[in-house]
Amino acid sequence: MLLLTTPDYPPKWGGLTTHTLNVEKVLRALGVDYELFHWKSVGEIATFPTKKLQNFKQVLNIHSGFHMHMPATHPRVINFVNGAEILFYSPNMMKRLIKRALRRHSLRRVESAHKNIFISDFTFRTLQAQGLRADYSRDIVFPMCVETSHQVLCRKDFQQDPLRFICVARDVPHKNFRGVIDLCEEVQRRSGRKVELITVTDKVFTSPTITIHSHVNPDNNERDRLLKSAHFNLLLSLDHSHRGFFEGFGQIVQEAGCLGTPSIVLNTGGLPESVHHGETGWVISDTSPESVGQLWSNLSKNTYERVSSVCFEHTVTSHGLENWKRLFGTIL
Amino acid sequence: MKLAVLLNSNQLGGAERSVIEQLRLQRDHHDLTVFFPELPSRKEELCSFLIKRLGAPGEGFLYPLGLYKISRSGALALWPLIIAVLAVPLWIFQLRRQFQRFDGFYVNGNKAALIPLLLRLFGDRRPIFWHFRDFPSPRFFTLIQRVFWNSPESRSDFTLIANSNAVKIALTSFFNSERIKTIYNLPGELPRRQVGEIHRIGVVAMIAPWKGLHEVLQMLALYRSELKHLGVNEVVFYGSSLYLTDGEHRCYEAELRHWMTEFKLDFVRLESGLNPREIFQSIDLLIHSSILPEPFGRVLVEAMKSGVPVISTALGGAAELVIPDFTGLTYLPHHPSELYQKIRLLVSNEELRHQLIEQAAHFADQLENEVSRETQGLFS
Repeated sequence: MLLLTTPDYPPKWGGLTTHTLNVEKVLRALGVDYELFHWKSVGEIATFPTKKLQNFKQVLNIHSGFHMHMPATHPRVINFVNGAEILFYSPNMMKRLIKRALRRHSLRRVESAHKNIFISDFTFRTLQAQGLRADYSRDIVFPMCVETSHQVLCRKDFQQDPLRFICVARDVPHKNFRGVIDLCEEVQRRSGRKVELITVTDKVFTSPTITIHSHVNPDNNERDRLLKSAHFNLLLSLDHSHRGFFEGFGQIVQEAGCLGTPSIVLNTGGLPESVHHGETGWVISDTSPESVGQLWSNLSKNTYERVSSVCFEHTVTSHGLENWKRLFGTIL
Repeated sequence: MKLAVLLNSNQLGGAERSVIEQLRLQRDHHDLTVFFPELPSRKEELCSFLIKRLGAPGEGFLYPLGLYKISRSGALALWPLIIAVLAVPLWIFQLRRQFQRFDGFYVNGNKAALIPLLLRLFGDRRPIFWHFRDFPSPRFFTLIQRVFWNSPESRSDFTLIANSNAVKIALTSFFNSERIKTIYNLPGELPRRQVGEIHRIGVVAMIAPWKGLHEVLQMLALYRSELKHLGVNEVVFYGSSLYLTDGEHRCYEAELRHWMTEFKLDFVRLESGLNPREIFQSIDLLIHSSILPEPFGRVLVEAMKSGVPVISTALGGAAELVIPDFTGLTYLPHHPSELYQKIRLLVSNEELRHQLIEQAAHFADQLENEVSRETQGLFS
């Protein structure tokens, strides 16, 4: 029996929830018996019964925080290492001090894992910079996988107005909604076309020029419908590592990609590994008028259609759950 | 011109082979003497190659081990470094005597470049031809720029040679581009062979993490039965840990072997000590798996010249060699499924395989002609 641990699960939606649900699908497809533990605080991890823990043959953690804080060691722990947990930071000073004090212990825990699966090379290098001693027989960089079965390429008419952008992100500073709106406004100004931006937060954003629609907290089906309807997905996350936030990979890029919606991302964190510039989407250095102008001047109908198609093929082939099935079928 | 050619290492690696092949083109026009650092490791292979290609075994020059062992990560071995720095004045005196008869220096790498740069601090103004075998380190070259390239006169003594346009572009951050030449590495004489079906795959690289060997092993573990079904019987990693520097590659070979044992990859082995001719006569496909941009990727040209098809991550200078679907196939690093798909494509599509081999061999021939042209007149 395998213990699968996660900090997020329905009814809460978000990246880690989707990640957990996808891993569950893979485990079921492999016929692996598992028990799910949904933890909501470090206290719940620390008080997990040790004897129960030892009875599991393997422990698979969606978030490496479980391994860092679990009450006892286990010989076969497999961690996903995602993002911000490896910065050992908290906006709360007391929590920050505790995380810093426990950093060495946490790193030694991660080093004692059977396997660590880093969702990007950036995440791997960041944890090494924090003091992780790399071991290439233990540490694997493996791109994020998403559900792609039954998906078909949804072709969009690039020349049809309005030009639709979508940003599926929480309204937090590092997700850079200001940059998202700036990009959309600049595209409208340069192209002369009507631009619409779709968001999924409950904050009401306004713009003097573009139209912004908010679809608050959609479930996965509604989210996919919105992604399908958009020409571009935007993930312009800033590197706020100094405040404990960065984009480890950008799962939404693959969720958009398997619907044929290419993404425009900033060159921060693991995003340049998620989007292959000019092939599956575009990586820009900032949202200045010059950068957006350069991006837009190179975008034609043919280019868009080619990238959309390559993005879809690449996502389905390289980021479908079959890849995790093969990985877990080998390492479990 | 009487030139002192300073190599970065006393071991025969790809960079050393390349520069020696280039110097063969110049030996009738200039008086070239090759020097290598006197280090604890064995130099017989290098000396033997020098005799074969240039007619003389080369000479050693003193290089304090503490300075040489500065790791790739920038960490310093403190005590050896302190001792080395204290010995510098004696060292400079010895170097001045050893190199006083030459008109200039040709340096093949940063460690070797330290010699003429140190001499320059003591008034030496002989020309320096600095051949770059890697991307310039921003920290180190900002210092070089401030100390040695701070005026047009001081810059005029230098000619920088990049081994790819990718390296040249990186160098232009520190040096005016008119004095930077791009001269690709020469692969040397290699016999062409006819590759039939693909049964043995080769990965030819030093044993270091940035060469991505662990990612090839990951792919082999994930797709072992499919590869066997395709007829791939053996995968050989040809390489050794060449450098004496410390860094994250110290335990790497052991980690690779651990992975091979854990996943019972009995069709995979590590081998060292073979020369390129022996390697490319025995493999049917080359995988070039570097996960960081390569300055050049000499093994790619060696494979192309030998008639061996290539699959590469094509990062950095390697992208100037592996033109997708023309001189080879490319795949994204950290994407084992993509690497497998490209192997499958090459194994199963004979027509494509032969087309790529022919186009790549022609490309390698054209590259050699270009290098010959660029090298003529380099020291004029």
